[in-house]
Amino acid sequence: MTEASFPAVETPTWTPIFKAQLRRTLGARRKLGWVFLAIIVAQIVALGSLGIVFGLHISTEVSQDTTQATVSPLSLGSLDEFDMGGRVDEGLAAVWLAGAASLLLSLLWPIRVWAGEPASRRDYHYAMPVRRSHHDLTRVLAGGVWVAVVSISLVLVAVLTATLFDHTSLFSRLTPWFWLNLLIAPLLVYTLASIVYVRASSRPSAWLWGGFWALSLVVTTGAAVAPDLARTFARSPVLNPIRTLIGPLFGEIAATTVTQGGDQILGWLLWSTIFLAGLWIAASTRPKRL
Amino acid sequence: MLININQASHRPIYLQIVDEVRRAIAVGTLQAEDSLPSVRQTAVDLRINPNTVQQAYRELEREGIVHVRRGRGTFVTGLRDSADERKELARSLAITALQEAQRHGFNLDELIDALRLEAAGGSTREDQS
Amino acid sequence: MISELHNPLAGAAAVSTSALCKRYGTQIALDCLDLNVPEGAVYILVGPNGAGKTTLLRTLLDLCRADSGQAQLFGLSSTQDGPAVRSQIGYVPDSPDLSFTDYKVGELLRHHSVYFPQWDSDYAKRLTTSLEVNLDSRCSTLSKGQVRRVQLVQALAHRPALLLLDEPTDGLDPLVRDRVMGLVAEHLDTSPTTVLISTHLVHEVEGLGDHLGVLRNGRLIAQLERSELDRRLLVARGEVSDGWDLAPPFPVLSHTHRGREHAWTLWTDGQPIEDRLAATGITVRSVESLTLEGATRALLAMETSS
Repeated sequence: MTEASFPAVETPTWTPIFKAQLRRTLGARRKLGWVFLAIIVAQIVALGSLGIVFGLHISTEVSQDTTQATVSPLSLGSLDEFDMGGRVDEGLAAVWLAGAASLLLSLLWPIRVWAGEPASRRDYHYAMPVRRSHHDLTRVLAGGVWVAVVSISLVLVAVLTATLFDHTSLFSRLTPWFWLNLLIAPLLVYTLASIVYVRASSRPSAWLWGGFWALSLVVTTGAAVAPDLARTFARSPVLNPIRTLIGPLFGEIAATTVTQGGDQILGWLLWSTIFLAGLWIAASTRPKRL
Repeated sequence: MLININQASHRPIYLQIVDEVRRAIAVGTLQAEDSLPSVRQTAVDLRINPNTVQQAYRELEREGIVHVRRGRGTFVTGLRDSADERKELARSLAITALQEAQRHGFNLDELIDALRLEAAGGSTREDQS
Repeated sequence: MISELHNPLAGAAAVSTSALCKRYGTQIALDCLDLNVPEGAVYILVGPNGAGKTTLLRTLLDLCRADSGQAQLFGLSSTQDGPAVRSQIGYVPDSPDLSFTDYKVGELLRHHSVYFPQWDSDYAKRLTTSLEVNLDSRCSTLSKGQVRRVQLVQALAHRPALLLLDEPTDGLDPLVRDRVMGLVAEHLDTSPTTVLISTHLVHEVEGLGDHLGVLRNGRLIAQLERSELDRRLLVARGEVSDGWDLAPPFPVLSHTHRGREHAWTLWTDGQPIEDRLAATGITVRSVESLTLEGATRALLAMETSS
């Protein structure tokens, strides 16, 4: 029996596909305005209540202790060194909250990106006539665009609010690395979470939790078995991803990173390489079962 | 013309279409130079494969009952005497009747007798459907 | 087992698999499957639920990987040339699931069309009209049958060279089923297409199918052209005298009798059989070919009894 051959047809191009994925990862457009509004309202409410209830201080004294902030791996950094009598800076707190909100959002955003399409029901996505690894990455990239947009918007809202109420006195002491990290950290967290959703199983949230507990176990065991090594890792702004990504936000919020710009870049490079490689591997391999 | 087929019948569908065209010609609903419905129309109407319709039309053309005018459709051939067509139709009816008779174990004479009796109004049964 | 039930089909192959095997744990989904769909065929793949139909279609799209063996579609490999293969396929999956729950149907079709540059929007519009698909409905609000209709539009509107329809009428009401069959018939005439329909409701596709593949427990127990079936798979009815203990001189797929009256489903050589049956002492009353549905039933029955 001879083989028939396909007629020649045009192949799809990536630009319109990327645009389609941008729409797809955003979801229903009419809901978006409400999402933004809710985030802003939540932020203001949280800011106000936090300020009142805890008297959130990010005191100026913290920033004076620039070079030797002791930060344990999972601590919230300088919050240890709260000085209730010190100066309260709502402006800084607003930026802090914006950063925290976008980190949380970027961790959860893959759920939006893959909504309705857990790995076990992704036939439609995979039946499309394009290379699957590229298709996965296009979807993740499109979702990443929204993570960036949302993160920048949140920080902008915070900065504008601070400016409006004249609480910008400490901004001058923040380094460019700090501001840049408000964008890069959510993107990296989003990339990490996306790995789970791209490859995953039918239960990505189980993977997320499993990963979290496994990591905790490694950290705890590591700290018990080889405390010196663990301390080196924990203190390294490059090797400890928490310090690289969240450190500037929590612990070394002010001037600490001025002297560590090089380390910050190294940390970003290291962890973005690791996460992107993980994503690439996740997109290029598929469970045998499928 | 309306083509009627029975998809649950044992008779191949293309032959049923041939039968139907013959019938239409015999009873006069299709006359010389009338066009047959297009292959697509017939296929869509009957929910059947267009190839089957084509096969039927080819068969009709082979028998000289219709001819194809390129780009215009399939037309009933005028030369053919409708008496011939009637004869052909009667023949296929006869075949069916004979097969049925045989299935029921009757021979030709018994069948003919029954037909005569029925045609003469000899039967008073009313349960015919 | 009658080997002739697996005659290679004539014509250029649109889809061919060789020794395709797939198991899930201990359960065998595909058992050395040699599927063979000629170009331009309307191939009806039939079998009971769980026979492997869905697995087979998903393997052709590389949505699942076979453990061994391979599948060629129009000369391309299902696994190596995935994108090129899938760009020529219109697929109605087994699950009535649109994934894009927050999209309107119109938005979904626009999204879909991006992936198929040859998408015919006029045709899509006609399809949505005749299938009564409401473009403004949200995908999450659609019933099973409405999802099926959207999936049919998605599969047909780019006029692919190959249609893979997995239970395409599943969940549709009788009226729409009938309309779908009309649309498929029209599609066959307007676009050169090879169709592989998986179904367990053969009577619905009785008029469309010209090839039949019967799948059971992951094995193709028969793969035949319709005309071959019409010619060779016959039901003979007749009577025998008391004490008759011969058999028809052909492979018997099934045999039933009540008293003296017998019915045999026979795989014949395609030549007239009445005289040869009579020679064994059978008083032949009728010899008929089967519908696709009847043939399916006979072939499936053969498999269980042998």
